[in-house]
Amino acid sequence: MSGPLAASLALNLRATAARTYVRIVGSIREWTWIIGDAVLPNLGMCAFVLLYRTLGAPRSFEALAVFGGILSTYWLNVLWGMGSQFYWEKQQGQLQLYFAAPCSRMAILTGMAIGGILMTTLRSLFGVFMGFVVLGVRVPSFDVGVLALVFTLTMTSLYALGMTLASLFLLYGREAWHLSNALQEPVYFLSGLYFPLRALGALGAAAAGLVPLGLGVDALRQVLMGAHAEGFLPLRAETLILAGFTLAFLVLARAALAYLEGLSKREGRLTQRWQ
Amino acid sequence: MRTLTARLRTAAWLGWQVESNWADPLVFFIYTVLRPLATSLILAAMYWAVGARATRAGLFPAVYLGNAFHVYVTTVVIGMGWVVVEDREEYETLKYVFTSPIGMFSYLTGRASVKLVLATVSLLLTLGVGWFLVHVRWSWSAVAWGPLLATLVLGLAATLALGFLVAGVGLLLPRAAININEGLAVSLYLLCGVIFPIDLLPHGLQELSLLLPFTWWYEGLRRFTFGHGVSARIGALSNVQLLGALLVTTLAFMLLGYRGYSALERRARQAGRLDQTTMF
Amino acid sequence: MPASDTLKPPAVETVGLTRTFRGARARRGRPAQAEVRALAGVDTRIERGEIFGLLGPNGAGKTTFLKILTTLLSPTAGTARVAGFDVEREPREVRRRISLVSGGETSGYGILTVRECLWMFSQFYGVPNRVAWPRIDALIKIVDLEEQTHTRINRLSTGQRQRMNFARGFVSDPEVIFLDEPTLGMDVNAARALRGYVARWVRERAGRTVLLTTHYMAEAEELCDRIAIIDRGRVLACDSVPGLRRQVQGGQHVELEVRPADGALPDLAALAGVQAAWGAPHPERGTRTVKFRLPPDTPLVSVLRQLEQVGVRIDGVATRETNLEDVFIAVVGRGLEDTGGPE
Repeated sequence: MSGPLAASLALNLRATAARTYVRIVGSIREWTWIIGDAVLPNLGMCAFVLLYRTLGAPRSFEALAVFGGILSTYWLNVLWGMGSQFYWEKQQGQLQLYFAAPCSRMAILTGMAIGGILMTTLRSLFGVFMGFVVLGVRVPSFDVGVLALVFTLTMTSLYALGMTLASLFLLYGREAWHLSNALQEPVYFLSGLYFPLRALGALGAAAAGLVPLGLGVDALRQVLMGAHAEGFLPLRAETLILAGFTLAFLVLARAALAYLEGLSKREGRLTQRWQ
Repeated sequence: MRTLTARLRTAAWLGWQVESNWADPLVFFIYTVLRPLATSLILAAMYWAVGARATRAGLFPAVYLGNAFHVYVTTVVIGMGWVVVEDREEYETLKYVFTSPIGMFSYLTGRASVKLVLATVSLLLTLGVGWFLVHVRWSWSAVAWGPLLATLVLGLAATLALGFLVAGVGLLLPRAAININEGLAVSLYLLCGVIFPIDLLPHGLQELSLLLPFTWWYEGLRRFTFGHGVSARIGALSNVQLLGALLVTTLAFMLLGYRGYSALERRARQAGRLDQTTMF
Repeated sequence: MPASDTLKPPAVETVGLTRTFRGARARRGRPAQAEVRALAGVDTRIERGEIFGLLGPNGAGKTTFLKILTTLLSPTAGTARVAGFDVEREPREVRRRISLVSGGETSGYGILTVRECLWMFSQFYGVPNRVAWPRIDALIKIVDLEEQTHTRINRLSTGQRQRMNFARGFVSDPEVIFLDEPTLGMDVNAARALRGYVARWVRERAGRTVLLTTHYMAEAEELCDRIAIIDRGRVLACDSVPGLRRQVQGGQHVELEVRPADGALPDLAALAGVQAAWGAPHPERGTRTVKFRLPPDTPLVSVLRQLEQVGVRIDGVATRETNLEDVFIAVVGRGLEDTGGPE
C-alpha cells in the first residue's frame, strides 16, 4: 500500500476506534439507558404478540411479531444513533471540530455505528428473551450460516442508509430531525415489521421492498420460519438485493456527505445551532 | 388568576412556536397525521394479514379505538420528557425558566396544552381513517355521551399528571436515558390493554394494570362507544363501578404527579442537574 | 525567520476574500432580510512564525474570516490559502495542518473525562498514542487541570471547560492554530497563563503560526507581532503595534471625565474636529469617560466648549501616549463595543 494511502487509512481507523470508544464508554457509564432503550421498548413487541393471540391468529404470526420487534431496535439505532448524530453534534457545538479535523466523516460515523451495536445487541437479546422465553413463541430449526449472512447484509445495508441520512440531517437540521422522528412508525408499517409484507398488496410490498429494513425482515423471517414466513420474494433474490443495497448506499452516503458538506459550507449552515 | 392565565398563555405560545418551527408543511403533516395513523395502520395490516384465520375478529374495532386514544398518552408522556431535555440541553433555557416567576407547573402545563391539541388532531384523523378505510364504525345513537365525556376528561387529567411525572424524571436523567419516556408509553401500551384485553396478562400484571387509570379509560371509551369493551374481567363491572374506578385511580395519579414532580425537582436541584449537559 | 522558512509558502494568504450571507426569506408576517456582506475583499498575508492578531468590533467579520480559513465556510469570492493549500480545493491538506479554538467554547462529551476527550481529538488528527498521551498530560498541566484529569466533563466548571478546549487545540501540534477570542470569559490569571503559553509555543519551534482574534486590546498588544484592524468586512489597517501607533501619531490623546446633563449622553459624532468615543462609565461618580485624539491644530478648549454647549460638565482631563485603542478609534471611527452584522 502506498505511503499516503496507508497514512490516510491509519488516520481513519484511529478516528473510528476513538469514536467507537466514546459510544461504548458512554453506554457503560450512563447505564440508565438500558431500561429505556433495551427493556421497555420490547414490551411493545409483546403487545403485538398478544394482539395476534387476541384475534385468534395462527401461532406463526406471533413469531413474525417477535422478529419485527428485534429488527426495529436496529432501525432505531440507525435512525437516532447515526442519522441524527451529526444534528446533535451541531447542537452541542462539536460538529465544527469534526469538520475541521482531517479524518473522514464516514470514519466517525462508522465508529458511532460500531459503538451503537453494543447497545442495540443488548436490546435485541432482551427481545429474544421476552419473545421466546416469556411469551413462549417458537420457531423451527434453521441454518445458522445463512442466518448470519442475511443478518450481516441487512445490517450493512441499514447502516449504510444511516450514513446517508446523516447527510440530510447535516443540511436540514431540525426539519430532517422531525422527518426522521415522524417516520418511525410509518417505516414500521411500510416495512411490514409486524405482519407479512404480502398484507400490503403487491404494489405496497414492492414499495416496501425498496427499503432495506422491509426486505431484511422478510429475508430473516424466511430463514427462521420457512414457508410460515409468507415471504414476499424468494430468499436468494432478497439476499442479492440486500447486497446491492449495501453497495449502493455506501456509494450514495459518500457522495451525499461530500455534496452536502459543500452545500452547507456555501450556505453557512455547518456551525449554525438551533437551525 | 390573571397572572396564572398570562403565564399559561405564554408557555402555550412558546410551546406552539417550538412545535410549529418547521419550514416544510409536509413535515408538520407527517408528524401530526401520519405517525399516529401509521400505528393504527399497522394494526389494520395485522388484522388483514390474519384475515379469515382470525377467530375473534369482532374485537378489532374496540382494539382500534383504544389504540387511537393512546395517542394522547404517547404525545404528552413522550413530549413532556423531551420538553425538559431540550430546554435544558439544546436551548439551555431551562435554568432561566426555573429561576423566573412563571413557575415550572404553569410552564409545563402550557407546553403540554399544545401537545394535547396536536394529539386531538391526530385522534380525529385516525378515527376518520378507521371509519372510512378499515370500517371501524359505531352507532351514534348508541353512544352514551355523558359517561363518555366524563371518561374522556378523567383520562386526559390522568395523562397530564403522568406527563408531569415524566418531566420530573427528565430533570434527573441524562439525555441518553430520556428514551425511558418512550419506553414508559410503550409499557403502558402493554399494561393497560390498549390493543388486547388485560385478561391475557399474567395475574400479577393484571392487578397492576387495574391500578392504572388508563386501563379503565380505554375500557370506558370502548364500552360507552360500542356498548362493550374487550376485557371479560372489567366487562363484569357496572358503568358506575367502571367510572368510579377511573375517578379514584385518576385522582391518585394526579396526587402522584404533583407530589412526584415536586420531589424529583427538589432532587434535581440538590444534585445540580437543572443545567447539566450529558450528550455523548 | 530561518532561511528554510522563506522557501515555504506563507501560513495564510488571502486575495479578495469575500463572503456574503443571504438574508432570511420572508415568512409568516416577517419581512425578508437584506443580504449581509461579512467580508468585502480581504487581502492578507501572514508569515510563518508570526502571532497575527485580528482586531475588530462585533460583526466586523473576524469569525467569518476564521471559519473560511478553517474550511468551515466557503467564500463567495476570492481565494484563501493556509500553509500553501487552497481551503476550497485542498481542504483535507489544510485540516491536517491546522487547529481551531473558539473562545467561550464549553462543548464536549459530558460523559468523558478530560484526558479521554483530549485523546479522542488527538485520534481525529492521527496522533499515535505514544506521542498523544505524554502531550495530553503536558497540556493538562499547562492549563492547570491536573486535578481534573480524570473528572468527567459534565462536572467541570465553565472556566475549566474553556481551558480544556484550549488544550484541545494544541493536542495535534498544528502548523497554524486559529484562536477565536480564546480567553473570552476567563479569569485574569488563567488568561495570562494561556497567553504566556501561546507566546512560548510559537517560539518553541520554527514555522508555528497563530492567528488570534480578540476584543482585548491589551491581549493583542502583548502577544501579536502584527495586527489587522477589521471593520464591516474590510481590513482598515495592518501593521506591527509600533507601526500602527505611528499611523495615528501627532497630537495628544485626551481622556475626559464628563457628567452629562439629565443623564442623557450627547451624540459624539456632532463634535467638530475630533473623532471621539465613549469609554467606561463611572456609576459611583455619575460620570463617563470620553476619549479622542486631539489633532495638533485643534485647541483642546474648542472641544471642551462644544461639550459644554450640549450640556456636558467636564470633571477631569487627562492626556497620555497613543495606545492601540486610540489607533482603533482613529481607524474605525468608533469604539470596540459597537455592534454590527454576523460575526
